Amino acid sequence: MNIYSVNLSGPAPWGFRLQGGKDFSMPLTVSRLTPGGKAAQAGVGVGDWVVSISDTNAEDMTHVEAQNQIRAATDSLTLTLSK
Amino acid sequence: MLSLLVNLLFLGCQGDSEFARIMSIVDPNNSGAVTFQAFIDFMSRETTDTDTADQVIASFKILAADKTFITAEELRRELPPDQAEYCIARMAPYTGPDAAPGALDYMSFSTALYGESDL
Repeated sequence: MNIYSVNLSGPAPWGFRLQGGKDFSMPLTVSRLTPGGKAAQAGVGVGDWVVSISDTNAEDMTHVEAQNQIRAATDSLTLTLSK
Repeated sequence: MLSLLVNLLFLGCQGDSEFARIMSIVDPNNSGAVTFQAFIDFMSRETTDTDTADQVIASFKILAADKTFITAEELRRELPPDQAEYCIARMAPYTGPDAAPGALDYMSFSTALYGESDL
């Protein structure tokens, strides 16, 4: 398990699709990357688990909670992920 | 929740022939009732997760008269009261450049229903 962090410069879109969440009994993962998008450029991989969003632990977040956390980030977005 | 999805998908149908086709699949006995299992079987056969979220978005867009956001008033006008309140309680405010007071984000709501969001 390889844990890493990325700091994406805003504004959105960040260039990835978030899938899963506690309410879907699935871990939050990156299910898709926009080619050449900010997340892809930062080295995020498809299938990576989202461990925390803006320094908040994402493990128990529902899909909507995670979505709102990400949407709350305007100037920059910090994500910790696990390959 | 199920009845909301059925409502939205049928509202999003393009024309009577599409509606008749779907009804013949989910209600083959023409009983006028769609069972949960029939609905799920239909959705599994017909669509991928992404297509389904897109279809729900397309249905909301029709209710919203082609706008990128919907209002509580439009939801209450177009949907049964309990479904309208369900949506209103859960939709985030829409904050796009063309937002108006009371604008609700139906796109994020729809993708979140299927646990997939483009961010």
